[in-house]
Amino acid sequence: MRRWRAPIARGVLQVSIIALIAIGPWFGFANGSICTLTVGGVTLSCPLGFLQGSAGANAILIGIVGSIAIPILIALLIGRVFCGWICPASLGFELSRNFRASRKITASNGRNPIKFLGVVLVGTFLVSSALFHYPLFCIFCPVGVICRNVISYTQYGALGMDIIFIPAFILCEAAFARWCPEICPLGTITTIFSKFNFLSPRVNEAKCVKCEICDRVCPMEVQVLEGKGLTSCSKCLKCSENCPTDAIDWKVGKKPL
Amino acid sequence: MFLLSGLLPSFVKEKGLVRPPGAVSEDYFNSFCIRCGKCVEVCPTGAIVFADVADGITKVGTPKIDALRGPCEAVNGRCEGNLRCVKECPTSALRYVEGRELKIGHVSLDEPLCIAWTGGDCLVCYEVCPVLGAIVLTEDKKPIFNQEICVGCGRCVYACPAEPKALMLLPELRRLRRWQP
Repeated sequence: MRRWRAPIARGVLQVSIIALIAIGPWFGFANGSICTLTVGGVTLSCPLGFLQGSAGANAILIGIVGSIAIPILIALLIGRVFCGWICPASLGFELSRNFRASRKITASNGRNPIKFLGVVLVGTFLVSSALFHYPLFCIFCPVGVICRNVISYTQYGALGMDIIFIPAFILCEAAFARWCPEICPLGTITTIFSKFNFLSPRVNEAKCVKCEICDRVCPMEVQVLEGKGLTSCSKCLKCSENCPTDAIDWKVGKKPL
Repeated sequence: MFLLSGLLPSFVKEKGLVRPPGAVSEDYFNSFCIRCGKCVEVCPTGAIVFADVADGITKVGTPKIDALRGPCEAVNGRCEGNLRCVKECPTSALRYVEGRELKIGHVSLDEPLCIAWTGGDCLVCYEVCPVLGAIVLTEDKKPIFNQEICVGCGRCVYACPAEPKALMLLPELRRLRRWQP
């Protein structure tokens, strides 16, 4: 019963963001990477980069205060939509996860969607940025590494040595599948900001046969069936696409649960 | 984790880098720069490249000027009065500097490799130099660099015909400190 429309749509969007970064500067309609992207005069910045830079410099990075507003607003309203639809690393991670057998529901399911490990890592990165004056996470952030290597390859035809982080991450993800739901500091920050989450999967009890496929396919370990942990939902539509009875609807609006 | 992040710099020997024009002092630059790569994209000569792991692990992804790929045209060039990298930098790691205060790096001359100093006939660096008085010629047409006047744009390094290049662009260690927050 697996359908491929949403995965293909997400893959196309993720690849086209990379293409935008690669060819945007040649035509002048976009420049920068996902870390700070300017498209048509609007600049979007990474909130985690802002926090680390500010901690490292002991000063607020005034220049990107305005441009982190839109990503934070998106996170407030619809949560981790970045993770499912834009993040180029999640594309590779998702493909690598396909090599694993279908996941058992782990014990961490159903707890607070803001995972302890992720919060500890965000705190660690901020404190070590403040102590050693460099943004530690930016050095191996999969999103940043991919974008920088795309830029360096298209601009002057060379790859940096930091490209080795990408296969390393993908191997780890194929083995453990813990990055997106639990570890990723970007995702953790987004989950913390995800307060309203106006778009979420809702189970139609009349059609549901309690097969738990939705819980099992969710890459963010949301308990779709019980409606728990919805703030970490990345809107990837996997649960509704894999549902054998089409029991999952996407509702816009504050959840009544 | 803290220990690791503190030790990271010692795994690879840190060295000074030639930063794009208007960079704040090195410590602050490393924090201010969020490694977005905008300056790399907009540089019209392709002089700005990403620092790699070999340049120091804490500086991965920050911009540096590679004079072998292109010269910086901040002085009397395409970017005169309109520093594209500075204009694009979202976090003000690169800040606007007046032409007179611009100091990107300095140039070292390896005289045994220089064509003019080894008896040949070459005035390339003197001819491409955009700053009056940065390169002066001795009576027998040999270049001498005046480090006080040279802004370190790297045009002489880019143009040097000697093989291997007799000139090298080195980082400015006394970088403009006016912009420290």
